[in-house]
Amino acid sequence: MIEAEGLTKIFFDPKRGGEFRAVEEISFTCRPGRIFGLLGPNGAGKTTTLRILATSLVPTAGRAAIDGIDVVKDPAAARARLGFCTGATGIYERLTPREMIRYFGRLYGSPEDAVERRVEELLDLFALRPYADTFCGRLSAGNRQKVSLARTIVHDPPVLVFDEPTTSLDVLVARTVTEFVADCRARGRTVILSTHIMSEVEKLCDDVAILHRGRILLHGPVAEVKERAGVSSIEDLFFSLVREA
Amino acid sequence: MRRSALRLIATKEILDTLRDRRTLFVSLILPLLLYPALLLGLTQIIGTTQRNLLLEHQRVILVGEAPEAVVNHLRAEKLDPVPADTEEKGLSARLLDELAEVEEGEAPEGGRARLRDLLTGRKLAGALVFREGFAGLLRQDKRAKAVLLHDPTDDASKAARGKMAEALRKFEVLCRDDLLRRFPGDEERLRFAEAPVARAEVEVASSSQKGAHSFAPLLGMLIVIMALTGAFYPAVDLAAGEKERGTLETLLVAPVTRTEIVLGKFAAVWVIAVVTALLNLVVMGLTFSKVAGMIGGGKIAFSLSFGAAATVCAILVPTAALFSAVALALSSFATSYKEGQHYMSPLFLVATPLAMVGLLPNVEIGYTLAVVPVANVVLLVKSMLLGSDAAGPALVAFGAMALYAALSLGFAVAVFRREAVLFRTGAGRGFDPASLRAAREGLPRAGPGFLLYFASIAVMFFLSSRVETTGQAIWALLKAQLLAVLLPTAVFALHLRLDLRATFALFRPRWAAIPPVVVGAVAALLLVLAFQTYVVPAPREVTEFEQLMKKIFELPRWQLYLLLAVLPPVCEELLCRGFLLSSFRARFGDGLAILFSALLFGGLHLDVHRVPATTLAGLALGYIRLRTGSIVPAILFHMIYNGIIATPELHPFLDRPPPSAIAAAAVALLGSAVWLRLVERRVAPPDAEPAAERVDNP
Repeated sequence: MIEAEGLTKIFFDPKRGGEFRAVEEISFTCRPGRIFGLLGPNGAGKTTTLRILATSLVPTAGRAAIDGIDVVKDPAAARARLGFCTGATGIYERLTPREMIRYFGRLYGSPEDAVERRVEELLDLFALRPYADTFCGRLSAGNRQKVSLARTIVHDPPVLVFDEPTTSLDVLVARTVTEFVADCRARGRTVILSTHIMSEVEKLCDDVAILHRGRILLHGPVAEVKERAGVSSIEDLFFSLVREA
Repeated sequence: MRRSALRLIATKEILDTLRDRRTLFVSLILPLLLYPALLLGLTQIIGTTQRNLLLEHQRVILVGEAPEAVVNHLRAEKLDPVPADTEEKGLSARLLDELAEVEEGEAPEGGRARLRDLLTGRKLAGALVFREGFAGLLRQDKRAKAVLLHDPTDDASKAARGKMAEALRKFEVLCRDDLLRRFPGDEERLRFAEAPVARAEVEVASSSQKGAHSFAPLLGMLIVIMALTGAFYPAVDLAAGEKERGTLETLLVAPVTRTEIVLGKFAAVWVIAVVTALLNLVVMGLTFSKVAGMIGGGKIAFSLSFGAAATVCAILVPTAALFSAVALALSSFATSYKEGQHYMSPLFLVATPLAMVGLLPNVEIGYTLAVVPVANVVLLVKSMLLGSDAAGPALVAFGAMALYAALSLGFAVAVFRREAVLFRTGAGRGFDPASLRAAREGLPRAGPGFLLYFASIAVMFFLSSRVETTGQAIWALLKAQLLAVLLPTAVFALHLRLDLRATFALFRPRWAAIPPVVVGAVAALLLVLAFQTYVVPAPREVTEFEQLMKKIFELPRWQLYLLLAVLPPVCEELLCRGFLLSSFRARFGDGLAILFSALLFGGLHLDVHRVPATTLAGLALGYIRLRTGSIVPAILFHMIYNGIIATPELHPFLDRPPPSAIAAAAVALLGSAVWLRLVERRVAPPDAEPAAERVDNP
């Protein structure tokens, strides 16, 4: 469960003429077993929103909670319940997949034998066993992404945050990721996903929020918002909204 | 903070770095391979020269009546002894005169230099002086005196010294055997036989000539550079490199605190830096002793007492900690490995000159230099290698380095907690030279502040000249204040189109603020002088500043006050409490802005010994300027402060203020701060209206 209420983030950026409101007064809720899509063009505030949820950024105003835990008041506990993955998050090239997963397992504070069990489990889940002891730097792009996903769920988090997870991936690798995201829903996890790819929303998401210039223009279940607006695709909806705004 | 998380991060980072061939090679393997090769070649050349010197004959002169046996031993040691007066008439008398000057006279350094000229001018490698009645005393079983003159900066003379000492030793053995044969079992004579010759050695080079020759300062510099490079590459990789590869964000969303992350990374960089430097030291030491043993035949030794070696290794620990923390903080600003390397250049630029302080002849570690980072390390290593005793300054140096390391680590943690630093992305978002021109709402930013300061220092440095006459002294002061301080400040302010009134706080102060400022100025001066007299005494030699002051004091009184009590307060306040303080406030907050402007004010006087005192005064000035919202009280404070110094009648009292006056001054300073606080209840925000206008429009 993710709850966001009136989230606002103001940056100070002299190049944008002083104060810059990256997100303003946004509220939404993501429920377990559903995928929530945050759709918006570049610079809409998607990454800022997700970084606030992941406790990397502190909101200027508003509150957000992961499974009921306030991200500002108890960031460590919130982080423990959260898996975070972006298209840009990397892996340690000089560690092997086994070492990489083990390192993060330990960072999340799991007991030693539980970590070892989890490492083996994930190596099998992502079919990484043949490469378990090869440096990550020598793996194919697909396998690297798998290591990254394994890292994301090493602590079996109930909430998952994906920030443009398929950006800059080739189609085959992107497929691995979208399948993984869908699988997370099947396992009853709460998933929030940001993207600027309309088809991804259409294919994956149960709920959607359209973000533009830091504000949510519209949100609700995908089928419902399409019906309300009388459009056949999310793409049409998006452009009509953005044109109005 | 959890120690397990910290250890986990540190261990992983060390493993990661050890697997990074690039970092490993540049910071560890390369020096290990390079130094021995370099040193081997170098020491072999030196060694060959040394060995040749041992085989070659050197000419030494004998002064006084030399026993036949000694002369024979000298010849056996491959020396060519020449009686002084055979070499040149009157030479022995001149030598004895200069020797007396060195041993008893007022200017031993001059005597040494002249003795050196006497010897080297005649291509003599040394001299052996037999004191009055040498042979006669020995015959009466009384101790006889001999003095050995040598030049430690000259390799031939060093070789000759060893040979002369050896000849004297053999002569003593001869004497002893003779005594024991003649008087077996005579206790008193046996004691005398232990050392029948009282041997003294006189080095005929002044200590500066000696220091410049020694290898010791170089080693200190190498240690600093090794610790710096050892910290540099891992730090860039673990901070900037990690950002670039997108792994930092994965670490940030793990349930570890940012402090844990920084401390873990710091521990890793620190360990790597210490190990790198230690390995280098060991390899260097081994190479040295190996080469020395190979070619010296036991006569050349490179040895270091255990205590000295331990001290050298121990000082590495805080040194590496300081570099690791600073490097980590700097590289956190960068978004890529490459950008990180750019940020490191200033670190090298600052550290290298400081490390070269050890190369200066005649500079030794004292309490003042013991607090100068890096320079203290180099000087400490130098004093350890030269075997001089500097336990007090050494302790201060350790304390100072540990303190600087702790402060830098605090800085690194603070940097790492800033969102703007961690999530800076893409090229061109980092340091941009254009930002030095930026101004906001008529107030300067921190970048131009720093740039102006260093421009001012540079101008001052290049304009400085020798002061010998009063005219030159006036000119020097005018140049420094008008051309180096006022002009750049004005140029910057006009070029940036600043709001001059707000930047320089040109507002009318409230009358109520004046009395505490006046009291505070007098009290602060007394405290600073007490600090200078009792805590950090200025060096005894006449500094350039004192030279200048002496000339200035010859001026008529009104000119004196104009030059000392009016001009510098106005110019320096406009720069430090005007431009600099305004430029630092928005960026660092009021407290740090006062601290930085005070430190820079301390450095503005281009005199290391005056930095602590002027910095203290700068703190008071910064506080006054922010409290009153006007620069006028700060100028007034500065004028009173300088005015008192410019009044020669007060000097006898000021030179050694009595403890009661110091105590009273401390109370008065505290009192005036509280007084000022009561009068001025709030500090104006950087861009808000100042106190004066607030009063005008209640």
